[in-house]
Amino acid sequence: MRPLVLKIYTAMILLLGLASFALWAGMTPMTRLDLVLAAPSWAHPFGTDSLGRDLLVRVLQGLFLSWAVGLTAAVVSLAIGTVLGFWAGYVKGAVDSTLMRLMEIMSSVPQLVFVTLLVLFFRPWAEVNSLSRVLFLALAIALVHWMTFARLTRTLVLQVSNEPFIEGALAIGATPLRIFWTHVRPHVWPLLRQGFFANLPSFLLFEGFLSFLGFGLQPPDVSLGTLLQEGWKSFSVAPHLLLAPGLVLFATLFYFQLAFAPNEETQGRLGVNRGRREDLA
Amino acid sequence: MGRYLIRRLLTGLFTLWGLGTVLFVLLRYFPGGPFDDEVALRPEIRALLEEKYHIHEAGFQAYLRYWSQVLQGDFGTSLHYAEQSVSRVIASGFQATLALSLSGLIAALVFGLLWGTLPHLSYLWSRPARAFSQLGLSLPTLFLGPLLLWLLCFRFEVFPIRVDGSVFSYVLPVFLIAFRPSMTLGRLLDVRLRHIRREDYIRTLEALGSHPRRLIWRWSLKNALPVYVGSVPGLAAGLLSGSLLVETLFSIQGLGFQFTQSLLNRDWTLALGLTLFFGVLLIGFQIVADAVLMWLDPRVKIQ
Repeated sequence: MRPLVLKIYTAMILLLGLASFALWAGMTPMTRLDLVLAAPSWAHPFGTDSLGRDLLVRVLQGLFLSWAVGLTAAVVSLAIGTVLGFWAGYVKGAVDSTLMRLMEIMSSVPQLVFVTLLVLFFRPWAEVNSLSRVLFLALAIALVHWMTFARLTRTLVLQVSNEPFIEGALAIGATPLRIFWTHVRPHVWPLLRQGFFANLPSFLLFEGFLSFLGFGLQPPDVSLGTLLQEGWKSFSVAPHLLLAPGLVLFATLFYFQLAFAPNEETQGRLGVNRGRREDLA
Repeated sequence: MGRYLIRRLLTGLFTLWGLGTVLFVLLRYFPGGPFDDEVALRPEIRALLEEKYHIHEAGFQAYLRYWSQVLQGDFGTSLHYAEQSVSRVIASGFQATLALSLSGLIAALVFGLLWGTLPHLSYLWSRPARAFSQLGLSLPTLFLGPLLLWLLCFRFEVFPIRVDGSVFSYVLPVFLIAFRPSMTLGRLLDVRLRHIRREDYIRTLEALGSHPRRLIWRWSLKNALPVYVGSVPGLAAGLLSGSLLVETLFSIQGLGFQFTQSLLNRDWTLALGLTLFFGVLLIGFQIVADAVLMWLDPRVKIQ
């Protein structure tokens, strides 16, 4: 795609993000029982829902919460994955094989089991307010998804760790932390960053998947997942309830597909498109 | 190769044991027992129920008992469905899920082959085909499923809205299960084929005037196939969990449906049994795919 078009698209997505934040922070759409399930019109571009609330506002709010969950989960799992991956690749031996076994166990189950357990486990702390619910859901998602990043970091660290400059740094007494930050990080980061952006949509999707099935956020919290579930349950009466959040989700994912899809060379190494999470939702 | 497979099998068994143990401990000591949500359960009845299902047995003893039962093929009794053994629930759901996943897998492989080779077969089609795959990759089943249900089953009434056992009613669920995996597969294949086209033997053949179609089908595809086969276990895993969503959408009473229900009902024995069952399938798939991969390309060394 041409760079200019992509830039315009980026600007649009950013604007949408800002708008959705503003709406999430400041606005609750009014309940208007005279406007229940109204079809899209100029006053309400996406129509209204079963309580007469403006759907555009709700979709933007949902977009924001979905983003909040997805982005937090991605950042946390990147952090966990990098630390564990570096630990495994750097220390090797028993630590490495234990971590590898753990990863194998965690990736041979439908992740829904672990997520559900974690959500139940976090419930006492999560049920404070909307923010805490989002944070703990993101944490639960991150705790089952760090394997992609750990595997990637480990492979990259293993490649670097035998280089003479690491040996040299060790010889003059550098601590593991220093070796990681000044010597390993520059080699690992470029690919890791690509992996992060390439995997970001799947975190967003996983939130939608969870909320859709009833394991993630639930009303009164609005996310794209809960909105889609609402739309699915009522498409026979009001299809715009399904189309509005669906098209917004599609536009967001399409943007990521265009802007951050890994190129041919790195695709295999990033662990993207290997099935599993990506195909789940 | 035989030795390798035996080693794989042993680590697989070890993984399964670890999985069962971790989940057993988690499920046992996590808050939210199966009888906690019951509205008005008199304490003595609750105690009776708990005794019947061995809820209060000492941890290690229960653990040993669970494994000895599992090794005999008995996953315990469901805590939600009255008097239904977990094995029975699995057996009853397995047929639907197997039919769905297997036809989904075949459809995904066939359509993946189509999406992957289409951009290379004709110049005219290459750009539209790639654009279509970009669009398809950003269409989540979460949206596509309800959308197609609305359009094809409700609005235009092409397909029946409920799966009633006829082959025709399975078309849409299978399509939904296969759609995204086939897109990812097609993309993998497309990328691989692009690499192969730059290799000397292909360029030589091209210079000698070989027909493009023959170039792809006869010469390039053979070398691209290992990538394709290598992604099958991940794909199978994805299909199993992907059937979860589709089974919910079409209310098909398969394993995925039972699985979500068991988690929603806090039916831990059923959830544990299903998880172990999924684990066996996934690890089995992985081993078979590795064996096929080694058979296809003896140079491959998998650690």
